[in-house]
Amino acid sequence: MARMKFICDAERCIECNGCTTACKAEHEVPWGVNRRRVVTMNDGVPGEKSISVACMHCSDAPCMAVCPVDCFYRTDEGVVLHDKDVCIGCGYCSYACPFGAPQFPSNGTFGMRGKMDKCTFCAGGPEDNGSQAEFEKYGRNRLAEGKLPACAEMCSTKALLGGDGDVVADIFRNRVLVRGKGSEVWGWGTAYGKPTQGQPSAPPSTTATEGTKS
Amino acid sequence: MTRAAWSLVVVAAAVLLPACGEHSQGEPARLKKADAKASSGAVAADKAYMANGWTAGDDTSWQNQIRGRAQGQNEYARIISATPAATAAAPIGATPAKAP
Repeated sequence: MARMKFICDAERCIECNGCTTACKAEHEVPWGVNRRRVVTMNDGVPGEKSISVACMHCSDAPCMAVCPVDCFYRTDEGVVLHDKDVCIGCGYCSYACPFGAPQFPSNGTFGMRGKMDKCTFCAGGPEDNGSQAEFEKYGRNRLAEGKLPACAEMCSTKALLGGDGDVVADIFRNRVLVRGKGSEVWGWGTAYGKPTQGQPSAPPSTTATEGTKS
Repeated sequence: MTRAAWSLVVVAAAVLLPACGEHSQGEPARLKKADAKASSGAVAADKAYMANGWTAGDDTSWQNQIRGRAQGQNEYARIISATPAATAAAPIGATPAKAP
């Protein structure tokens, strides 16, 4: 069974924000909500690195653990989704998430948070696959159309890889071998566990000479 | 019934009956809707958006489609087909081969 995962290759990301734009356009994400964003470290300094950040669909998702109304669920493909009809907008998931993925609309009355919104790995939500109700609440369901997330498929440099964890890890591992550097796979250990936790190891950890950041 | 007895009944009701209006604390998990598998296809969507090459409802077909699609992100497989095999066989720590 495929286990969906994201990898962002900081060696390749050029901070074009194509992923962010693709996500906003594909799902008609409302103003003020960014399911995906690009973060640049040491911006303006030679050697700056950028990464594209969104929900990583963690193997042991902290948002699921802290949700007081238990609105989260994990699909057979390993995608962490939530039911907006159950969400109360408390924001606990936002505090728990190490990636800052949960977003809240800012136009609520009296500063109310509204229902949480986050990356769905283009897998929609609990409404009927491809229905208008699903689109309005969660966006397009590309997985049910036989496609991968728009952000990864639109990435011009293929810095952002999305899909079956085994496949994207192999792609990244091969890249590291070819270029001989840049094995840091940001967020992988945090989202999918480290080898000591009995989870799949980070793709380059057994093959590259550089350290792996998590 | 005496005034004291009525008072006792009212107090007892005030203490005992509020629990009857409490909602079960275990309900939220039951409220979540069931979600159809992605491999079942986007049945309600415009068929024009469906990717070709797989059969909706066939789990194996969907997985092959997704794996194939993911390989589309691998430019070494798309452009330089010989490079992945050459590098995969290289020992750890060896000087990486340069792409032509």
